[in-house]
Amino acid sequence: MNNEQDPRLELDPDAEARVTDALDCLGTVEPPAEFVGQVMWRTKHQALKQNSQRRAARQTGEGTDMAKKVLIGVIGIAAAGLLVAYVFGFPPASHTEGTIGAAQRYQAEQIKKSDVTVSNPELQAFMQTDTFDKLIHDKQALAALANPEVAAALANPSFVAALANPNFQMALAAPEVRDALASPQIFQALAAPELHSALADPKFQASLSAQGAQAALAASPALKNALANPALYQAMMSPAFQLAMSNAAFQQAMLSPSFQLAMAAPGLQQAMLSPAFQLALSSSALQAALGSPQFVQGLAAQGFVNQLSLQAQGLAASGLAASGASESK
Amino acid sequence: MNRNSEDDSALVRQCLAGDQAAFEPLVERYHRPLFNLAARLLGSRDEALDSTQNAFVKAYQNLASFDQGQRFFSWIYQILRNECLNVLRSRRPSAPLTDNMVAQGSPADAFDEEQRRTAVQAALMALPDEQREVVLLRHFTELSYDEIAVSTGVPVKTVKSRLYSARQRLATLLSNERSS
Repeated sequence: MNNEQDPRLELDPDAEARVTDALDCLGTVEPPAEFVGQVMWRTKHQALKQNSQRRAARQTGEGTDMAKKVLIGVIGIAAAGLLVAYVFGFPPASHTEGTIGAAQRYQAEQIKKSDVTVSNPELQAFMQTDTFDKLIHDKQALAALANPEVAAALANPSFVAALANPNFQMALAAPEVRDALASPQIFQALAAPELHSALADPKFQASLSAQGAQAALAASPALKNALANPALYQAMMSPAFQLAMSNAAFQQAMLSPSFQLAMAAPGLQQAMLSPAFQLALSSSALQAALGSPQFVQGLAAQGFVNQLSLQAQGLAASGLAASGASESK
Repeated sequence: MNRNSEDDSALVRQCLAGDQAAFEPLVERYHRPLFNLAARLLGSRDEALDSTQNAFVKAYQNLASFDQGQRFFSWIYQILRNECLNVLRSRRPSAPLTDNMVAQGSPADAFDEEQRRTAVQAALMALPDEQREVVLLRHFTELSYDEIAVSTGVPVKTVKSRLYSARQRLATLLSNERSS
C-alpha cells in the first residue's frame, strides 16, 4: 500500500509541524445523536417504497389494478391526497427524483373520476377540483399514495379539516414548506397525533404561512428536527409567537443558523411554552433585539437557553407572568 | 484487506440479501469520519449533515454496484464527494462558509481555541476544493495515497503534489494569521 510521502514534496520541519498542529486543533465535529436513526429510517422507507412499487407493478400484470383500489381507499379515508401531492411536488418537483425515482417505472392504468364513488360531500367537492384532477394523473403521487405507511400516517380526520383551510393551502403552496414536509424529520413527525392536531389548527397554519418561517424551514435541518417536538409547535400556536412572526426583524432572525439552533434546543422550546416568555416575545424591544446578529448568537448559547428556561419556569410559577400580561393591556 | 473491510463486505452481502438492518453497523462505523470530512470540506454543519445523510441513502440504494474488492469507506466517500461538489457548485459566492463548526470540548480556554479553529477552518476554505480534499483525506482518514487517488479519481502523483501545494499554502496562510 503506497503510504510514503515523496521527500521532495515535504515542507520544512517547522512548517510541517505548524500545519499538522493546526489540523489537529480542528478536532472532531460531532454529528447529531439521531443521525444513524434518521439514515436507517430513510433507508427503511426506501426499501418499503421499492417493495410496494414492485408489488403494484406485479398486480397490474394480473389484471387487477390494485393501485387504483388503494387510491380509492385512501381517498375514502381522507382527502389527504392533496397533502401528499404537495409533499411530493405538484407538478412533480425535479429534486424528488432521487427519493422516489423508481416510481417513474410505475405502469398502472390511469384512474378516472368515474372510478371513485364516495358519499361524503366534502370529498365530492374535493374531487371536482383541479387539484384532484392533477392528482389522479400524477404517477408519483399515485405511487406515494399506494404506500401503506403514507396512507396510515395521513389517515387522520384533522387533515381533512386542515385541507379546507386557505392558510394551510397557502402554506403548502410555498416550495420551502413542501420541501420541509418532504424531509425525513418532518415525515417522521407526521406520524405523531399531536402534529396532526397542530396542522389542523388555524393558528399553526398562520405561523407556517409566515415568510420567515418558510425560509427558515428550508434552510435548517435543525429546525425541521425541532418541528418534530410538540413543544415547538405548541409554542407556534401562541398569539405572541404569531405576532412576533409578523415582525420583519424576527423573520430575519429566523434565517440565522444560530437562531435555528436555539429554536432546536429543548430548553428554549420549554421556555417558549411559558406565558412569561410569550409575553416577552410580544415586546417590541425584544423583537428589535432579535434583529441583532450578536443577540441571536447569544440566544443560541446553551447556558443562556438553560437560564432562560429556568427563569421562565420560575416566573410562571410565581404568577408574575399573569400580572405582567394584565399590565401590558 | 483488513478485518473491517471483510466485515463491511459481509454486511453489504447481508443487505443485498434483504437484511436492511445490516446497513446500520456500516452507518455507525462511518458516519463520524464522513460527516467530519463533509463539514470540513463544506465549512457548514447543516450542509454536511444533509450531504452525509444523502450519501448513505444513495449508497444503500446502489449497494449492488459496490465492488467488494474495494474498501467500503473509499466507495461511500466517492458518493459523499459528489454530494459535496454539488453543494459547492450550487453555492452562491457570497454564502457564509462557516456556522456551528465548533468541535466539542471543555469550556476552559474555549475562546482561544475557538478562534484558532475558526482561523484554521478559514485557511482550509481558502484552499482550492481539490487541495482541501486531499489534505482532509490524508489528515483525517486512514486512506493510503493509492486509496486517496482512487477516491478522488486522480493519479497518486497528482494526490501528492496537491497535498504538497495545499500544506505549503496552509503554512503560509497560518503564519500570516499568526503574525496579524
